[in-house]
Amino acid sequence: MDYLQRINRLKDRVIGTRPEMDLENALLLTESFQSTEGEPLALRKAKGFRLQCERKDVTIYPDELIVGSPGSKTRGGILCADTCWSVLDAELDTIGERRYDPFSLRPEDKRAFCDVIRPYWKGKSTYEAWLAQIPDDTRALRDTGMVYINRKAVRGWGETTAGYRRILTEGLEGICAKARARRAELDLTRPGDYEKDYYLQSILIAADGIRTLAHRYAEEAERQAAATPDPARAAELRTIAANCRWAPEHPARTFHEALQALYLYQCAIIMEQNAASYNPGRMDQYLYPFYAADLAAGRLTPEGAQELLDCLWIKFSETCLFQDAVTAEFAAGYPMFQNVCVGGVDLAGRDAVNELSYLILQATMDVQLYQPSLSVRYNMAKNPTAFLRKVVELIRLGTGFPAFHNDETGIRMLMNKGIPLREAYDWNPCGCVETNLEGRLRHYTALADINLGGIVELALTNGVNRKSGRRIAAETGDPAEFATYDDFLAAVKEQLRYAVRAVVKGSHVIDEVCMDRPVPALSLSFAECVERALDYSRGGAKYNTGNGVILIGIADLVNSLAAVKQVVFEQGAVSMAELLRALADDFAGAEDIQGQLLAAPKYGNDAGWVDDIAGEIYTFIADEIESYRSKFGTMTPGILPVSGNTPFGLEVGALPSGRNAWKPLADGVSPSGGTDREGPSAVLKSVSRIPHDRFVQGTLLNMKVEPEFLATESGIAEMMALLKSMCTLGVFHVQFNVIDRDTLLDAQRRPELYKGLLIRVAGYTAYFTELGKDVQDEIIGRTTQRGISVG
Amino acid sequence: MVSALGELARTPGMVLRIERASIHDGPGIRTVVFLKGCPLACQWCSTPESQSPLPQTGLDQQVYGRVMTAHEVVDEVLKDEVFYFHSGGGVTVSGGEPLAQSAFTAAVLRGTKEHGIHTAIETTLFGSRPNVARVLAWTDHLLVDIKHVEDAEHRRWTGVANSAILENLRAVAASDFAGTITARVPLLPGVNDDDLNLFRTALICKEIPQLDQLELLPYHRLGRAAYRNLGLDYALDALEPPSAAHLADRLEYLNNAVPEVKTVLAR
Ligand code: SF4
Repeated sequence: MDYLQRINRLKDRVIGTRPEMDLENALLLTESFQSTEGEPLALRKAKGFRLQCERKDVTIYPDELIVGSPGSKTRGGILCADTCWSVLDAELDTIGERRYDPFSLRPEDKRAFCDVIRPYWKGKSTYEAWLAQIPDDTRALRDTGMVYINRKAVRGWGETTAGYRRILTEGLEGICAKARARRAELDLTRPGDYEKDYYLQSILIAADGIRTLAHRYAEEAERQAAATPDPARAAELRTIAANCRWAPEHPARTFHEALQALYLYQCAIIMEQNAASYNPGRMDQYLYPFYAADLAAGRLTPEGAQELLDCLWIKFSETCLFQDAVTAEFAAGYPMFQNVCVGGVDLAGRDAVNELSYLILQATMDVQLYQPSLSVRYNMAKNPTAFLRKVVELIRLGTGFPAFHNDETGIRMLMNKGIPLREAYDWNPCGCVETNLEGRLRHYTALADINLGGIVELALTNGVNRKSGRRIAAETGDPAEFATYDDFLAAVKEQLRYAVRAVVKGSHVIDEVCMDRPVPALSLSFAECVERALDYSRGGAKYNTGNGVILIGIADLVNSLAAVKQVVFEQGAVSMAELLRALADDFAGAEDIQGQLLAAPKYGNDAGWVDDIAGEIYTFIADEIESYRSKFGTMTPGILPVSGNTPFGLEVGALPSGRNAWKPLADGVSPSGGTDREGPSAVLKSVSRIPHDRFVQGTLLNMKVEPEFLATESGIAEMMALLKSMCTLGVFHVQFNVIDRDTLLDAQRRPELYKGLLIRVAGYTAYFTELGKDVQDEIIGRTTQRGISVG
Repeated sequence: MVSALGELARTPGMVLRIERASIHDGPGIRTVVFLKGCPLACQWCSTPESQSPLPQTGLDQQVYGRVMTAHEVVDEVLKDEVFYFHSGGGVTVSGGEPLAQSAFTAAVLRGTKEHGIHTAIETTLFGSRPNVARVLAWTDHLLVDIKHVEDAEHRRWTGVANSAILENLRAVAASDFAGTITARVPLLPGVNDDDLNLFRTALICKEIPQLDQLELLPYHRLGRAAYRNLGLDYALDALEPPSAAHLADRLEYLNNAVPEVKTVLAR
């Protein structure tokens, strides 16, 4: 396929570039803010944004068909000065070397930071405001790693789906016309109208900035077209110029214009506030009219559309998320989480899969980069089997994409957020596995994480943090006095209540701090923000809910409860005092106790009573979180550690589940590594006992799949059946890692890293590293013989 | 369901293990119930721990075999109902030799069938005619191994004559058994993979009206860990599994020689 040559060249340029700090954006914002002192904040932000658009780098790289960048580097980490300049301040000397997500920083940039950015912004950022206002109890839990709650103060908004559809169909001119009409209705003698007036001005200024930026790219394309000796490239550049000249100022007329306008707007909102999780959402839906019209008019072929999508996919992979070292540990890999979604149902509840859905899946198969995050909304009742098959073909590539979502559960989650069904049909996955609604919904989907391993520990220490020895939480009684399982359970619940309260208090502070974080460029694509003349940050969107409270260590909590119930209170094999001593010593000299705890039934094996514990405790937690409201609405629970289970685990001592101290917790709703011995169907059965629809910010399941499941035609059919079964069971999401040949070879070489790796042998399942070398070789041979090479 | 309940609860069997979500033992996603006890002693047997009808303890203290009632087994099988529904799968009773515990096997199959779930057995058909009939009454799909058509060779490699097996197979083919039959040859280089044996096997298959296909099951040595654990020697240690090229060649031969029988590689 010819177009892939271009794609591979573009791709090589991106993966050959080391991420670098990009301060252009921060310097321009600083310059603008220095000249607008005294004006309303929203106006200052809009003017700063416009100056960025007027002056930023507008390089167009060879081979590109979609152009634009939020910064000045190929893989730049943009510093959002007004939000969190001080994050870089703290890491000026270490950012190039840090373990997770390092960025190189040039000496001249370092100087500019010290001379210009720091002196101006000191004391003015939202991060500093948060640090000054964090409630004491929240701080104590944060400092000991029992909750993680800084995320929203160290980067911009994100966690939203802008109104891309509006940008494409109304254009900036349509949006500005509405803003002007609203301004004309205002009466500046009426209280409140002054704020609306300057806010609408800031919308108009931001729109002007985006238009200017597009025109500057058009000029650059024209300049390059005139200079290039290659007539084919000159023609491409002239098309780019024409596209940027027209859209997003005016409504897009072609598929190519629509993609270009979409991406320039994406750059604009990242420039305004760099953050993860600005989600393009349902591209197969809102781009389809452009695609269909082009095809009908003979302007475009499916191959041509594929090439354009692939070019856009590369652009999505360029920008790197800059965040502090700790936050990077919780979500490593520079993850921008620009979540694109295909499939699902339309506004009438009908099958929404179209040709573009397939082209979008193919783009991820072609490009195989880490962005965009590709999600599937699979509606079992409505979507065709051919679509599911294409999804499985992508799964077998072993890239971890797509994130597979059960559409019916997603729709229910949106409804549980207070969105009426007719609009819930239009939901889209957001960031990791959260739920969102294009151009209509505002909340932080993942404001804070609660460490459930830590909760168990606090119930067994009467509120004292094991690592620091400090009392940081509720006093739930001397655990040696627990006479029944219910006493223990009650203490765990009390610690949960305490942590949820602390997080809710922190969330209210963040909400307050973020009222002064206006985002006119983002808000302008939210119809109601313009209509109400109220910024996204202040609740201007059509729907607002409370922030997301996220749980980490699902399996650790369930397995700890189950082990205490069985080993201590039912069998009486270990006394509470013995258990406490063993945990304090990390099982040193108490290996027999650890053995008994590990032998207790574990979540993930379809063991009814263990899974009943899961169902009960997670219903309790969802109830608890939803019992609080913020000024924006009901608080929203979710289960989605990105990589937060690892840093959280470092803060938690030994647990009754048998887990050793300071080891990672289980991820998402997945069983603890290596404890699921009954195969994928049992895992799904256990996982289905968690009330997924209640966790409206999503639930995340990682599964490993053995190549044999995907090797043959019938394997593909069984994989499809497995996914349908998962939907029937009401599980929300699953993502697959393929255990490929390389993994097995590596496990043979470094068994210590693969202790929990389970593999089917012949009619039974075993730990791969415990098999003899001959059997291991035979299994590795099996993966080659079937011609599988994935990953 | 109620009618069978008492009988199920009263029928115990010796179960080696139950494997869920298997995709190798019949159509769809299946739960495979491996039973203890086999009258054969194939030298290549990949589950030596299934041969003895009694429980055994390995060197690593792992216990092979436990008594379960048919009722308990059916409960275990029902856990994956939703997966059978979407994949067309069900239960497969395997061995050892399920005919060696025919009352138990029949009870498990019957108990499962009463829930509308697809049933299969994996057998050599080495058993008495009434036992075969008792089990097949509740079977939708029969997976039958034909290890060698030459009696002397069959005795040499498996320790028993093949006459009962082939007679049973002919009898089932001629009976009103309405399910489907898949015949399988465990393909062992130098043992049973020659043209003549494969050709004669396919000819037998040709005469089975219920046959859907003949499958070649490539020999593997994954059972070696179990031999070690039971302190047994593995007789065929030096025998290499067939190469992909060899498998393709055997497949092509059979499809040309007896085109009426659809021959495929087992998945
Ligand atoms: S028939 Fe099967 S279980 Fe019995 S000895 Fe032969 S291979 Fe083993």
